[in-house]
Amino acid sequence: MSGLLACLVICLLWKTSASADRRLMWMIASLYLMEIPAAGIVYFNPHRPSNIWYYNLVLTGVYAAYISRYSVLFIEKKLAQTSRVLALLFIVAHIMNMQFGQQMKMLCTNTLVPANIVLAILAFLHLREQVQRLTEHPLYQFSTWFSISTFVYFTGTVPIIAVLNYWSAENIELADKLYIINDVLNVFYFLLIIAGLIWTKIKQTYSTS
Amino acid sequence: MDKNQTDILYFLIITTSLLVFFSVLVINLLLVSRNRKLRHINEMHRLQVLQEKELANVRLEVTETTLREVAADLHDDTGQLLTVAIMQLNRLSKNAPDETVEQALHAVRSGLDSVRNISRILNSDYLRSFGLKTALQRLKERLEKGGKLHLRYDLDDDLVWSDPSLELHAFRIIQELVSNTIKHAEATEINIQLNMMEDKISMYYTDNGKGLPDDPGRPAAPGAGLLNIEQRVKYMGGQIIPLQEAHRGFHLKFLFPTGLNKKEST
Repeated sequence: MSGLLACLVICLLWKTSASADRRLMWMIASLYLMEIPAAGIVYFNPHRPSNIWYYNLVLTGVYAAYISRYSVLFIEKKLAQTSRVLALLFIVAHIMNMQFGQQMKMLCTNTLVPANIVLAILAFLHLREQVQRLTEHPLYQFSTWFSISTFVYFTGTVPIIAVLNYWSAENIELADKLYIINDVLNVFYFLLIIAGLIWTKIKQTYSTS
Repeated sequence: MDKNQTDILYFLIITTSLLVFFSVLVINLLLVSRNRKLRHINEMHRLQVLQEKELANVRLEVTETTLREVAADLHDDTGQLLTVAIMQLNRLSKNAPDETVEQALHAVRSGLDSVRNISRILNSDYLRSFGLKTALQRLKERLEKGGKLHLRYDLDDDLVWSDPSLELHAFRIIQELVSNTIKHAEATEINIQLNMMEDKISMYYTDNGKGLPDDPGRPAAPGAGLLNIEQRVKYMGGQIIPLQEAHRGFHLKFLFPTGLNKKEST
């Protein structure tokens, strides 16, 4: 629901948003939209785990997009270049993992967990950079809210993703409960994004009027 | 689900919650440190402004004291000497009436008037007692003695300075501007207008001289006089507003508060 609400807010604010913010909004919307085909796959093929291959493929793009987005958000050139290299490294490592490592039958957590940590670190570094800029209030910019939600979400989901494969094989009931925790974090993520979208829009309108 | 698995689930929930909690804490710490840094910068800036104001205040006080001393010396020493000279010339004129002595007597009397006028203009106590209008009248008389430059002033009747020291600063600014007009403008007329605007006083100063040089290649470096004006305006908490020059000459607008902001000036 929160994802759908976030997408609705994105649609409402799309026209009045800056192009840099639009790219972030599109990425956030894609995080929700990717769940629709996943649900469709499960609907047509209820045999577990029917949609893991799909997640492995889509998450390659999602994680790479998130990591490489920081190359645009960072002001410091070194950090921007590093995030570009990390995105490339992730794509290569994840494809290798899908092909030769954990393969398509299970979620490729060996690359997704490090990617989660990398994203949390990048979000933290971006937040630090935003906070150090004293000329503008960081919370009046949507990129700050994007990094706040990314930092919280990708930090929180590390332990869940790390044990997901093990418990999917060992105890499917427990694995389902882990998905619930992940959903709760997802709700938290989208709520932060909605708050950021509305807050920055209010502040921008207030400052221009 | 057995107890062991339930424990693992709880452990995972607690770990995730802790991680989320710590990430929120980190964000909060970042924002708090930013606020602290901003507060520190603001405090430093406030102290710097205070220090600058204090320095300007001291400098202005020293200037006023020096001017007061010069005024006192002019009045007591030079004035006395000229009075004695007048008395002696009077005696000489009575004993042996002569046109040259009469001319000398007239010249010395004019000199004494001029010295008294200058000493009054320089003396801040005099200005404080008699106000800006009288001081401007003295200045006008002094300027127009030369015959080349005419000064016109127009002051609102309801002009009220809640702090008399500001009136003195306004007059010193006018003196500085007049001095610049005399030195650089080759003007024949100066107009000064002071109006009351709610809680502010606006002052227009115009002359019909050459105006400011409009050579774009030459940066307008302010001289000591202009710096002095800027300093006084800053101390008063006022504003200098350059005006678009519709006609030839120098045009400047000032906005002064009627009183000093005690919080800022102390």
